[in-house]
Amino acid sequence: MTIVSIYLLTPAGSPPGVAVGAMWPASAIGPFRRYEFTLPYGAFDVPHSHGFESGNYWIQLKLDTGEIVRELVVIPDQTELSIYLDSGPVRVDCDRQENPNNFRSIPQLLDAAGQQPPRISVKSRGLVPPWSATRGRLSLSYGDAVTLTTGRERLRGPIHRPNYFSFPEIGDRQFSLTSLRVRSLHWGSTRGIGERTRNMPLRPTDYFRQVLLSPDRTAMVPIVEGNNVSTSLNAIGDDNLGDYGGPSRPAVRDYALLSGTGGNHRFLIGLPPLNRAHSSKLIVRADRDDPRLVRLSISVDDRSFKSMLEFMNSSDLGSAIHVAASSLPILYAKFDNPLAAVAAGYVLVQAPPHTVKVAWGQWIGNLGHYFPSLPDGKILHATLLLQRGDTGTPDDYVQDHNAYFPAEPHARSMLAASLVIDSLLHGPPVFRAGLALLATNLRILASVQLPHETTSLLEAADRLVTLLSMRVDPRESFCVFRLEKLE
Amino acid sequence: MTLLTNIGKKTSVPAVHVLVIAVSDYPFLDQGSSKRPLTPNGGLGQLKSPVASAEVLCRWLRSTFRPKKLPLGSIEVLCSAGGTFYDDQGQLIAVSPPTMKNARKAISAWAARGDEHEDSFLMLYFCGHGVSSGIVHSLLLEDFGNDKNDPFNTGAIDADGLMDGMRTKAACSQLFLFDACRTVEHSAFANFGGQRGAAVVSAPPNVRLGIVEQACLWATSLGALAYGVPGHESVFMGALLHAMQGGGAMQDANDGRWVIQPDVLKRAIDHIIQRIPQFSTSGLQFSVLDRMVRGFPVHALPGGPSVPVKVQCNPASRNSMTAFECSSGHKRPMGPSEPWYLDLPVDAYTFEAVAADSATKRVPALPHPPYAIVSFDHP
Repeated sequence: MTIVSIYLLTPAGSPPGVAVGAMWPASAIGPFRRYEFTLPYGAFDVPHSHGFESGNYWIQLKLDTGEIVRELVVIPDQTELSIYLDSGPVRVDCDRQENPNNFRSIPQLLDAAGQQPPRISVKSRGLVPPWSATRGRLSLSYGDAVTLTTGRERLRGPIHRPNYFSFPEIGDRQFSLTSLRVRSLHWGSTRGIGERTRNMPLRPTDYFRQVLLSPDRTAMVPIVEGNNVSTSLNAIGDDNLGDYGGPSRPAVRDYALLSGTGGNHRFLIGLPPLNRAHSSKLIVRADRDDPRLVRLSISVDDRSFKSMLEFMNSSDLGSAIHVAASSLPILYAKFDNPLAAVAAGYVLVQAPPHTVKVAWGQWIGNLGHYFPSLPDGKILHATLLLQRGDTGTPDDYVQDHNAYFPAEPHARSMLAASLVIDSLLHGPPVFRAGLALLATNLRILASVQLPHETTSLLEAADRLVTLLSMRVDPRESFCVFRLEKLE
Repeated sequence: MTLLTNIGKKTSVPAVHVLVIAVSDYPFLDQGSSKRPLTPNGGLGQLKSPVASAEVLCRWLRSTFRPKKLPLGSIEVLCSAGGTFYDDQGQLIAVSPPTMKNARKAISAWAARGDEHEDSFLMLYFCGHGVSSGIVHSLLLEDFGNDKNDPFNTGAIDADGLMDGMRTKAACSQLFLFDACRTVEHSAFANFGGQRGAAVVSAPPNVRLGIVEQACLWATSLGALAYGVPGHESVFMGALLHAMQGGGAMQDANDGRWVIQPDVLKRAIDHIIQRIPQFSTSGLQFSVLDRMVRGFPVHALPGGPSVPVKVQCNPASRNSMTAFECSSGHKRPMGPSEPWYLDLPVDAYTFEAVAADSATKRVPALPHPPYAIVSFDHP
């Protein structure tokens, strides 16, 4: 049991009102324990202390202005934790003597309170906090960010949010899930083409065996009776919190394996990687065409590209392009949400020339270079090399641009071939559209004169991509593979 | 390879080039004429609608088709036996069967014609068996199964491969109409591994993505069947030509003329298919539009569009006890239980519903593509 003290910080001059705070386990469907904070006039700290079992919890603050803040926090085991909720959206100064705890930085607040941040001990249980591998000290969950103190290094970034698996009722029956495993797998980093040849699995079964049999890290997720609740599942064990891998590091991909009743429903899905800022939700529901079957689909709680995904899924490229073109921040905020950036990339590579009034080719190149855990970036880069001419030449990055988009045709083809192979060595693409582009790129490369070693590798890749394409669920934006079809 | 038109020097100027492939005979599939059938064949057998669909389409192309600003450059047909086709002079002409060899020739020639001018417009219509698995779609030709060891590469077209290859051609507007089933599972063919079929047109590196506008209209949704009517055109072809009368039209942004656009066409086709009693409740067949980004005019209407209109009572149980009348002069007496379907030019109308047990109801309506629904609500 951990005693959690919840403080509500209100700015000076705030009108009186009522704020409602709530806290509930991340695995539950909604708030089950609700606390009300009565806001007095002016600055005031209102502590509420309660005992919680350790685990992941949602904490929510709803102000009478209608503003709602919801964050995921980790309650460590057998210790005390203070959580500060700030109702002031904009920090303003105030009389610190009157209320010294207001409007100060989190470390200052802790110092003022004489508190030591609790130490988190990580245990191997079903749900592991995504940042547990740092073995750091959780200082505080606050606003949109979590501050982690790990030795001398302090990392600050958006809080990880979980993936959700939701198993709603399906008509008059329920999908009875018998097991759900999540595996995290290190895919190889870029190496010599000879080594790639040796390592290249030629069959999907071999390809996915790396996932199915990987002993790297596995989390068994407890199945909730009745399937009527969402089970929170954190992407497990990223050792490089705050780091997306980088071009020289192996990428980590998480996969979910789902097995249903009768063994007829087995899915393999590559979880949207490294969800730092947004959660995804996997939903099992009845197949529209055949109610005996179930479908697995993913939704992402990011409004910025949810609509784009929906347009992509409905083959409404025109509307998707409109969304992408009007959401330039998506293009440039790849470090905030690389998944959204990749989705935008898929739309833009098919957009008519000059749809977007900025040079975005360089950005695609960066996406493929800096995000190896998203093979889609490399696929998009290869697509630009092979199928588009308007890659742009931003003045500030001419050197990088020339490296990404060499002018000489043979060099372009060789780079594209390398990108295609590398993308496959980092796992199947996250988005289904990536498989289609891979197939097209491989067809194009088949007509190019390349070294024999590369050609044979591309032929193997073509067979693999075809087999993957035949096993992917064509109705989903993300790659969902039916494992029965692999056997 | 059978050209119905004498193209002469038409390839040097922008034009519309149409290729029609209709496969009804599958000698190596179920109930085929070959003594060496392919087994297992997944239950795929002979088809009754493709030949009629090709005939109807060719007649329509010659008599009605008005591509905007472009002449009709060529019509080439590959069709199974039994079809009746005429050349430019109205003479009966024998067409080649849709075998892989003939398809390769015809598609290559058609692609070459489309590579002459970027303002040209290419249209491909395929009617026959289709097999889909995941995102791989194969269109089966007449000699599918002749090579028992490799039926897909020797007797099927990889639909996406073909469209990828065509993207390298000059013609910037390309319409693909695939009137075929898209059954997801084809475990009968599992032993052939991951074979897609032949792309036919190679795809060298190019810079055409985003420049060439392709629209692919599938007759049915993934995993579903595309239906035919024995001896008549397919359900999709019937709805397609019906929608070409105006349901699939929108006004050109520049000159205000009514032109058929692929996305509106798709919506009109779906509405028209649902007019068929068997399809109205089951939702058996819905077309799917793929690949399109901007859209392009397919066919220019000589005048205003003829809009599919559906008149009904709500609840539908009152349809049979209601007589409908339109200010256009059209009438339908009491009796039929299904809604009243008619086609009307774009205009303002008043519809009346007369029932024995209630006062006459009137509803104003302004039918507009892709379709209009006039509903009389009864409490």
